[in-house]
Parts: sequence; structure tokens; C-alpha cells
Amino acid sequence: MEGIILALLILLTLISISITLLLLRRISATRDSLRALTEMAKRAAGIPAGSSARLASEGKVEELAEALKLWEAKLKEVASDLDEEREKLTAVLSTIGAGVLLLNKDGEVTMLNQTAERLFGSSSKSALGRPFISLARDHEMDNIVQRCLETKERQEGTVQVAGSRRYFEIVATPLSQGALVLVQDLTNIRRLEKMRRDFIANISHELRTPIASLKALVETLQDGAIADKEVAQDFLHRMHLETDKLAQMASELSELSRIESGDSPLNLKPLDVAEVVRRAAERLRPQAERAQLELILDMPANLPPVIGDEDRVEQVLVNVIHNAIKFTPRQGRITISSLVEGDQVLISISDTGIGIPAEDLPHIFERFYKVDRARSGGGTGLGLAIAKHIVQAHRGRIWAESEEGKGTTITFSLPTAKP
Amino acid sequence: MEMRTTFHRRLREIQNDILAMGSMVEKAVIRSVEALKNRDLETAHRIITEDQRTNEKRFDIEEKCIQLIATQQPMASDLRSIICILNIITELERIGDYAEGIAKIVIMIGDEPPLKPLIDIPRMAEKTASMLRRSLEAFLSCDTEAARKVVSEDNEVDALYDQVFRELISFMVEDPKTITRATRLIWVAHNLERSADRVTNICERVVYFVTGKMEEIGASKY
Repeated sequence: MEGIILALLILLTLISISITLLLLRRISATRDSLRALTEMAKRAAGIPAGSSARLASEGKVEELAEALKLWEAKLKEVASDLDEEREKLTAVLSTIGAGVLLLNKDGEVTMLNQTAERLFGSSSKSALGRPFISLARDHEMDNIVQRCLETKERQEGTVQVAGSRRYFEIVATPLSQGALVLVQDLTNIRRLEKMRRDFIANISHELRTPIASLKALVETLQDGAIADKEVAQDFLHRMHLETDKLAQMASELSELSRIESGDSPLNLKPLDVAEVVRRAAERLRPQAERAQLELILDMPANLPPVIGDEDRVEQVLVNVIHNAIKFTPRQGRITISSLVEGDQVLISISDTGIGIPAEDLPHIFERFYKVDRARSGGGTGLGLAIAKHIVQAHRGRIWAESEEGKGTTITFSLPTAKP
Repeated sequence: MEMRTTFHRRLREIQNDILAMGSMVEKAVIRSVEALKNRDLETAHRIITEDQRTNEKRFDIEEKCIQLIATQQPMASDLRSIICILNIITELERIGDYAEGIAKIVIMIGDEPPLKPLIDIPRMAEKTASMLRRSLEAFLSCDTEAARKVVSEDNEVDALYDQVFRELISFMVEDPKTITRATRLIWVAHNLERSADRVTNICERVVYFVTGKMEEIGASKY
């Protein structure tokens, strides 16, 4: 019996020893992995391995907790840095004047800035994840982008967009996964370019006419006409007229560019408009009488003084009245009237002339614009353009109303002098 | 599930192709009338060459559709959408041909003096192009309301056509020397009128695709 008890005791002892040994190994394994984990957390938190910066509770579970806390702080810091960077990027992209889009390798939009939203008339919510063509709705633009995605080379081009008909310049740059697309609206620049081209075409046309007639006159004189005193006199007189016209055009052009560039400051002072109108009308009365036109002044008494440059305001009046004389048939009437509107004085010059077709009306203040080239042979085509720029320099407005066959009224405003 | 995603990915590709083809045709319509207005023979010739590309695009899309049917065996609305696409590309190709026809008329007119400033014909082109654009939008967004709205606008194109027709006839009555030029302009207007009708066909297809019911929405005057 005792033998059995002893054997059992020995057995129990052996079992408990082996269990203890097993547990010890476990604990040591756990401690190893705990240490490894702590090291990892410390590395992630930015504490260099084996550095002297030791944590207070070394080798315990608390050490791991502490390292994890540091790690969490570090992560928060990184996340806020990222947020800040993203904010900066968004700010830059949203203020940029060009449309910016990011596409993935399948050509789907993954990001676009506000300008791009505006250019394509789409919100970024509805645009994200969609293929570029469904946003641009234009196969030529899409071709540029697709070529970039296929060839992995920068592609660019200018496209007149289907629908809006605006001109977009598009530059697609390949990225490692997809492409960056820049879109710029060139419509306004194109319009300016066209204006410049038209201006040069106009000016060369206007110069060619007097030069051609001068050339013809000189050649006729050279071919013998000079011997005939009477003919020669007549020709010289005509040459004189043509050179006058060229000289006038040259001086008006430089005048116009001076006013436009703001190089000739206005000599502003309080003016009696009625007086300036009377003077301008007197200057042109002989011309009006030659054309058998009645020139009527219908100025109210007691107009408040305006702020203006006397000579310039007179020039506006002369240019506009001169125009009216040219386009009003005999026995017609030209009336100059005025009225006060708020802090502005409006001056109107109405004629009973041939009028201006509605489609030409918006353009008559442009340089060299002539409604009927055959009829307006004499002018330089700059008179109203100069008038407009002078009035605008005075912070006034100038506009025209007209009915074909009935007549035209040109009105401009000048600010009244503050009492 | 795997089948369905493949099918829808390919379908989406085809939808993008349709947008591209729509843009090609829309631009051809607008440019053909601009070429007429500016007597721009170079643009006219370019429209004719580019119509080749539109035709190629059509066959390319058709091929993709057939492959999709053969490999994915779509059913119900998936099948209807493919049939709808096959019909839409046929209509688009025809509109492209009408634009090409206008370009050919521009070349025929050459530098003959213009009969009159063009006002209503460019308006017809603008209207047709806008209807075309919105019909494809209606298809992609499965919007039958939008499709019906586009169809209702065909009247406006018809009214413009009437106006152009009457005006040109009056020219011919007044002066027989204008008959050749006026007739050519009538062809142009006719091509635009037909193009707008083709757009209404696209819209009818859209309604069929969405509702499964075939119906003629608005009977054109011509």
C-alpha cells in the first residue's frame, strides 16, 4: 500500500515539475515576444533601437503600453501633417486659373479642381470615378488624353469644344499610374488676337486708299499731265487733300493710343457744358450750312457744372456732330440737347439721318468700323473710337440708339461737379 | 457575379465610345454649316475625310457589341441596352453622312456669290447639335423624360425648315437666276431636318431601352 502511495507521490511530483517547466518556457517565450513588440512600438514611435532613451517601466507590460501611447501620438502628428499638406495642395489647386484633373490608368477622374469643375460644368462629386470623355464630352480632347495614357508621353493641343464652342488648350502629362491633365480656356485670348488682326487689316486698308490715289496722281503728272497747267493745279490740290487725310489719320491714331494708354492726363475742372456745346456747334455750323442742315441747340438753362477737360469734351462733341453731318441728307436736322440724371449730365446729339442697322450698332465705337464703306469714304473711322475713349476717361458712358431711315441719337454722360 | 462585372465594364467602355462618336458627329454638323457660312472648302474637305473615321468608329462599336453578346449572353435589360446601342450608332452614322452631304454641297457651291446671309440654317444646325448631345445624355442616364423633351423640340427644327424653304422659294420666284443656289441651300436645310429626325429616333430607342415598350413618341411633320 505504502509502495503505491509513494509511487503516486513521485508521479505527481514529476507531473508538477514538468508542468512548471512548460509554464516557465511559455513565460519566457511571452517575454521575448513582448520585448520584440515593445521594440517595434518604440521604433514606430521614433525612438531608435538600443538608444539610451529608455522608458521608465523597462521590461514590463507597462513598457509596451507606454511605447504604444508614444506611437499613437506619433501617428496623430503624421496624420495632421498630411492633412495640412493636403489643405495646402487644395488651396493651391483651387486658386489656380487652369483646370487640373488627375486620371487613373483607365482614364477615370480621381481628382479635379474648381476651375476644372467650372470648365466642364460638373461638380466633383459627380465627376469622380467617371471616364474623362463623359466629363469633357469631346472626342478631340479625349484623343489627346488617351494618346498620353497609351504612349506615356506628354500630349497637347487646342480644341474647339463641342457644345460650348469655346477654345480649350489641353496638356496631358503622363504619371506613373495615369495622367495629369491641364485645361485652359483660350476663348478670350483668341478674341483679342482676332481684334488685333482685324485692327492691322483695317489700318493697312485705310492707308492703302489715299496712298493708291496719291500714286495714281503722281504717275499721271509724270506721264505728261504736268505740262497742262490747269490739270496740274487740280492734281496738286487733290494730292494736298490726300496727304491731309493721311496726316489726320496719323495724328488721330497717336491721339487714340495716348488716351488709351492714359499717357495724356485730363485737365479736369468744373465746366459749363452749355458753353462747350455752343462753341463746338459754332465750329461746325459752316459745314452744316454747306450740307443744308439745320443745327439746333436745345440746352436747358441752369445745367449744373460738370467735371471735365474742356478741350477733350469739345473734341467729343465735334467728332459726334461731324459724324451726324456726314450721315444726314439735305434739309435734315441735328439737335443737341441735354438733361440731368442723378449726378450725371447727359448730352444727346440726334440727327434725322440714314440711321444705323441694328447689327452694326454695337460696333460703331470700334476703331475703323464703318457701317457703309461706300458712303463714309471721307472719314478715318476713328472719330467715334476717340470719343468713346475720352468719355470713358471721364468715367462717363457713351451709347447710340438708331432707327434705320429715321435717324440716330448718340448720348454721352459726364459727372457733375460736387458742390 | 464575375460575368456581370465583366459585362458592365465592357458596356461602360462602349458607352464611352458612343460619347466620342456623338462628339464627332455633333462637330461635323456644326462645322459643315460653318464651312458653308465661311465658304471654307478646306474644312469641307476635312469633314469628308473625318466621316471615314466616324464610320470606322461605328463598325468598331458594332464589333464590340457583337462580341459582348457572343461571350456574355446578356439577358433582359442588358440585352436591350446592347440592341439600343446598335441602333443608336446606326442613327449617328446617318447624321454624320448628312453632315458630309452638307460639306459636299459646300464644295459644289465653291466661291459662287452668297444668295443671302445665312441665319436660319445655322440655327437649325445649333438646335440639331444640342438635341443630339442631350439625346445621348438621356441614354446614359436612362432618362425618358429628357428623351421625350428632346423629341418635342423637333418641331422647332421643322418650323425653321419651313421658314428656310418658303424664303428660298420666294427668291426663286422673283429671280430664276437664283434657282441653282437656292436649291442647294434647300438641300442643306433638308439634311439638317433629317438629322434632327434621326435624333428623335435615338430618343425613341432610349425610351424602349428604359421601359421595354416600343413607341413612336412624336410624329415628325416631314
